Amino acid sequence: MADAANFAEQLNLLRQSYRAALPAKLIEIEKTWQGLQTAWNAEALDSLHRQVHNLSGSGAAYGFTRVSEAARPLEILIQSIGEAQSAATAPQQEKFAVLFATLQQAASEPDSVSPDSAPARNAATPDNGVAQANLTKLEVDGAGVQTPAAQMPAVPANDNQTSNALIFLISDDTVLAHELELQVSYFSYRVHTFTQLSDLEGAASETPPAAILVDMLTTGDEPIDMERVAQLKQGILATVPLVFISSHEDISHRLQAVRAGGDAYFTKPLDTGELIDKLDSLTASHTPEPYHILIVEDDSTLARYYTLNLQAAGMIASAITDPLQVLHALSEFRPDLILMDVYMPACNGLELSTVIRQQEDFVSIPIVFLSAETDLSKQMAAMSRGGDDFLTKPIKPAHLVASVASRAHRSRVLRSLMVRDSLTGLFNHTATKEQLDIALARSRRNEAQVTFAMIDIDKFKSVNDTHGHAVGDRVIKSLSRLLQQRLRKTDIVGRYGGEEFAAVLVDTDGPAALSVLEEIRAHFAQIRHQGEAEPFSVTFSCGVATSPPWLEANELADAADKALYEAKRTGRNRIVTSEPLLEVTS
Amino acid sequence: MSSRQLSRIMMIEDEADIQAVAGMALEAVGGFTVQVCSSGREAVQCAAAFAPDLILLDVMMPGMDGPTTLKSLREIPAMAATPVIFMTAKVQPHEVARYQELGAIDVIAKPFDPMTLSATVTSIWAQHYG
Repeated sequence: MADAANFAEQLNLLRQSYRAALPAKLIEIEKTWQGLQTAWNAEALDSLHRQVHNLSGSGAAYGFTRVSEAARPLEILIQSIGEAQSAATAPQQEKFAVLFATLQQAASEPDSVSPDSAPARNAATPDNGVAQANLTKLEVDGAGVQTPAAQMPAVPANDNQTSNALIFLISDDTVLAHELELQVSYFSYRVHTFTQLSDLEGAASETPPAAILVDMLTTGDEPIDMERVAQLKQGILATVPLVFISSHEDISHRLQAVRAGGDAYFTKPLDTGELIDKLDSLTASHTPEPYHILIVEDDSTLARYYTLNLQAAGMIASAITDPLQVLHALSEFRPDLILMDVYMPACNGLELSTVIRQQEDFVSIPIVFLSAETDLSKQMAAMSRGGDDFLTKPIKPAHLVASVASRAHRSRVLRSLMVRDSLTGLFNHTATKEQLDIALARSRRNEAQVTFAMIDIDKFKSVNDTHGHAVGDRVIKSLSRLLQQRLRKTDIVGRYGGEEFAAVLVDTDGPAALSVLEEIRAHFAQIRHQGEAEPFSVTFSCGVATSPPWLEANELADAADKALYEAKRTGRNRIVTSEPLLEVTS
Repeated sequence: MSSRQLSRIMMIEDEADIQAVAGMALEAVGGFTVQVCSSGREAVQCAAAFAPDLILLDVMMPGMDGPTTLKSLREIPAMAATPVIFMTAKVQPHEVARYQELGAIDVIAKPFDPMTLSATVTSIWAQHYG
């Protein structure tokens, strides 16, 4: 990755200096040409030829495709003048003037970075050739994150991008406004309330909000000007999601909202849980986690080349050149897909894939073979040994990226069905344990700390009994959402059981974990859930244990479980830290 | 799988702009060790010492041009069989054939894309030794 970023940066610097030197080169060409008009000189013509030839050969490599294209006919013209061994004729002079003007124009037109910038010729694609090719290719299956090479690093910084998203509310119902401001604030939204549409309009043109909530009945008994709202939605608020809140259930009000461009419609009394769900989905700036690709290729040059190409397409690629390291790499790197060379010295790809497939943990990881083998029956043999696809070397970067991305995408979808809880989308019990194992292995290597938290909703059975399972499910979802929003992207949140959750806080010691969890506990207790008859609130208890001193996942989970039990026993709605036998100082 | 590893490349090219971008592309992207020579004469002088696996040779250079340089290089015993790729803007099919007759294993068109130059070189190498 560092290499790729570095290369893109270096290339950029080179391009800048090339661009800066271009005008001087053109002046030099013009001078040489003018000198030739006064006195014929074979040597000067030779030098002119070389100057133009160099532009034609270098332009596109520096992001000036048009310079290469314009210099070429000029070069041919100069060659023909040279062959005649006499001063340029009047038509030749005229032609030179035209071609030179085109060249000057071209020198002020560096290649755009848009994908439709035409490739020069042959394999010579100017600018971000690789990345651009991938971009256009990948639009087909719409998978993965693509970042042009120049915009490295490939990993999108997506931590808490949507945190504290701004929501505009227009309503003069102060009770509603107050309640909303409070309730949605627990889920990282800020509400700004307006009573006049014109005020909202002014504010929105300065800072566009993430969403707008419109109370349809506002200013006492006067309904809101729906036409004005519709105009706004067509104008400055075109990209902002619009949510209507109304006390009317009937179709005509709903229709009005739709006609004004509403994305959602809620009736009072407002169910904040549902509203937040909606806001989440309307405002989500979806940045999927980049694919992890493990490359097994003994040729280090090729390994580098594949790595670079996949990285340029926004994937996280890691290469190993020693096939015997594959098991270690698999458990550490957890790839979505393995790209493997067939012929390797220590052991071949077929043997290696059989070894991988014999381990239950890795049965579902797609293996794509790369080989110069074009014999179909040999390819089939490779597939029967556990390979999923066969790519023939040499492969174009765009093809490599496209086949890898679409396979990785499918593999991830399948995997998510296996490891995610269907109600909350969190990791299920098994996957959470697996993630805890991985986090512990990493922390041991980095000498970092991991904190494991077990969270259990207090008296959840009575929530279900009183309000029904649908409401109970919503409570579970609200805690799931709160945990996801309040913890870091790198932390792992799982639904451990019915009303039980687990969180793996990586690089986090006990005190730090405690302060984060304490904040979540306090917030959760303040959330008002919409019950059958009236709103109610719920609390949770939490047990926390940190590794070290506990090193094994089971020990750590047991310790957290005991602490959770202690929290329940001493009165609930609290967090208890497991006390290790040995006192640890941090 | 190539039976031989490509690691050392000698590039013979008179134009400084192309030296810079190609050298960087081969080193940073391909991870190759690259020696740049600005003329055929310079190449003949340091070829044996550098002992390249592969030579990238510009066709049009002042003084000794590409084909002449190739001929001189072939007279050095250590360079008698070193694979050579010509770099040139003129890539008509019959010209490629002519360069191959001269002993080049392939021709790379100029201008090239710095991002894919190493890949092109690698795949020509793989085909040659495949």
